[in-house]
Amino acid sequence: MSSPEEPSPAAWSAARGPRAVPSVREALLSRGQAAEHTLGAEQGNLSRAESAAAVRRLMRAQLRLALVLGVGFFVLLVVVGLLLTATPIGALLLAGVPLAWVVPGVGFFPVLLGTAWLFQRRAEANERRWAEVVGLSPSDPAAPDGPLRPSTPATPPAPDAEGEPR
Amino acid sequence: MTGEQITVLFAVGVVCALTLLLGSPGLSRSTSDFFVASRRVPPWMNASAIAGEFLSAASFLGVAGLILAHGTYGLWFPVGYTAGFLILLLFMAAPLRRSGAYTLPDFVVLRFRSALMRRMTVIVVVAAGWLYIVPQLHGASIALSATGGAPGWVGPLLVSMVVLFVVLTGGMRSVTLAQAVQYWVKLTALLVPTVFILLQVGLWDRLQLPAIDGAWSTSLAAFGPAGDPWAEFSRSTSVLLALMMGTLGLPHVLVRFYTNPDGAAARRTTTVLMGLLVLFYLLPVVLGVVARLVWGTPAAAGEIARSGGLSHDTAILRLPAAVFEGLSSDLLTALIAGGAFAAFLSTTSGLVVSVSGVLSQEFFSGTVRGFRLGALLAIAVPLAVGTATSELALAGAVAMVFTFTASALAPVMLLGVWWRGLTAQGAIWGMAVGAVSSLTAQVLGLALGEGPVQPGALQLLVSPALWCVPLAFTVTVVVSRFGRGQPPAHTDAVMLRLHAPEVPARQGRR
Repeated sequence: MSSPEEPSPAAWSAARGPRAVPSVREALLSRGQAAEHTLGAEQGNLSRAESAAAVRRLMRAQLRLALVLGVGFFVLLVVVGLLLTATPIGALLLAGVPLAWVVPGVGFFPVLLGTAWLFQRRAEANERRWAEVVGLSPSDPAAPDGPLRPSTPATPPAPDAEGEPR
Repeated sequence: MTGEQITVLFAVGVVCALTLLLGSPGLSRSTSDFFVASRRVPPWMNASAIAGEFLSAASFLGVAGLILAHGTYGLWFPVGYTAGFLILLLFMAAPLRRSGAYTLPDFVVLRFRSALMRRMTVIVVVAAGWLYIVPQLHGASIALSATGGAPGWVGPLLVSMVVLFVVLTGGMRSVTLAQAVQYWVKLTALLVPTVFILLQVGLWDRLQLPAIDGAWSTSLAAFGPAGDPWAEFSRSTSVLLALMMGTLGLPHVLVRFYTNPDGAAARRTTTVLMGLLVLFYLLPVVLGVVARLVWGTPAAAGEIARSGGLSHDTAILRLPAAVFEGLSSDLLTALIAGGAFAAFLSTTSGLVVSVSGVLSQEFFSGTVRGFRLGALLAIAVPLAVGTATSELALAGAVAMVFTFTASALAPVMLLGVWWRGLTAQGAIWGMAVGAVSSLTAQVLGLALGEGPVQPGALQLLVSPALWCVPLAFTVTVVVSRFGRGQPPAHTDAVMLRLHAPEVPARQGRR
């Protein structure tokens, strides 16, 4: 589509915000992220192409996981809604309260939290697997202060581990 | 002035003063500080801040009101709000953080490199922000007039003033701290009254309560006739879809993800956040049910309808007075009113920060002065709109904004993060079709129908997410596939950037 001309370097060094669409290079290299790496640079014993392919595999794994859990949850909502609407199940009493009230009122909350917990666990495991493939220390991508700390404390805690009280 | 009015005004004053204090100037220095608090916010703090910002008038007052008026329909709202963050966690949290963009338009530029696309996103984001601020101001108006006896314009003006002061002097770092505190303020302000009200209702003689079975019937006579169950089903499904997808496009929520240190932290923040939301949402659900027990008879419901023509949105503000007498009623009402104001203030300031950030980057060259100008615009327009428009149910009005963002932003964001084949042309068409169809349908629905349940086809106009969102998805995919545009040349590099975990992050930065 439309691609306005590149702004001059002088315009970008001045202390002001963006006035035009930034170039992709500028956007990608901003803010101290591991840009070289994410651009598919050589990584450990992998070539550039192999490294990029490893990220693509990771991406597919994360997408599959997210789709299963996300679509699954919406389907569960619709099916339960149908059951409560089309069948007399909703009128059954649980401790004096009809299921039509109990299920949407409190029933989905444990499911939501369980799904979130499961996703976080599996997503971090996927990233650890990726880190092993590209030859990085496995304890790095998963947070050292997260609930899913790898069982072997391979590296000393990073100096920035200052208190997230969890 | 009655004792209730005095205590309510005192509580609201304390909340405003607390907000001003937390937003005191002197902490933020650079443009970067103003926008995202320099990314020094840990997950638990970020989760509290997002929850504080997200729990708006619709959650605090609206959910219980909907449960009182429409029964089980209201129960689906907390599920949908929380499920929205599940979708955000599954599909967006880590890639969004890894994109390194400040705002939605920044993200769109990174992905599509199209000035037109950026301009469209700015318009959609600002419109969503404005539309979302209106019910907050409306909530402030009804809360202060229902309990403090103030004229309708006092609440919105008060909220605007406090928010402007905090945003103009402190920027986002102080807002982050203020937001995190606001969550706990809101939780306390509902938890304490809930405990007392439950104890009191439990102690009541069984005879004093209206028939408990009446509370479970679908719709209370005082709030209109019950709908047909299939219309109910289509309505709740549509709302659920809107709430789940719409969260992906809420500018004030998304901006918070940039303050996480890295992608994994963004995920952890979201999980913690969902726990905080569930903890909170149990309270309006319980209060809504208690409200049905108390006002379950037509006589009692007619009584609230008569007492000043109150909308059901003020139900939980009226509940302490219906259950208690004298000072304890006054104190509990004041506590709820204070919490409600915390909700209006935090959501409004979050929206003002994100709208003004977008406005200043787009139109005022991104300076601190531009940010302040943007903040003025961000609050002035909804203030004008809010005084001009009639009242809508709070939760309903917010659901309309969710439907808008779910149709206009969510398909483009989701496909942009996960599908290489997306072209700028496809994104532009998808966003345009989603925005126009959802807005048109809802405006038509408002004009043609009265009340939230409508027969058949009209229902699809009143809550159109069920067809608008798939339509926007389809248009985006079809135009990308068969249109003349090619995916942007840098797509592979951007995809790598979005999805590769940050590796040296923990040692190198911060």
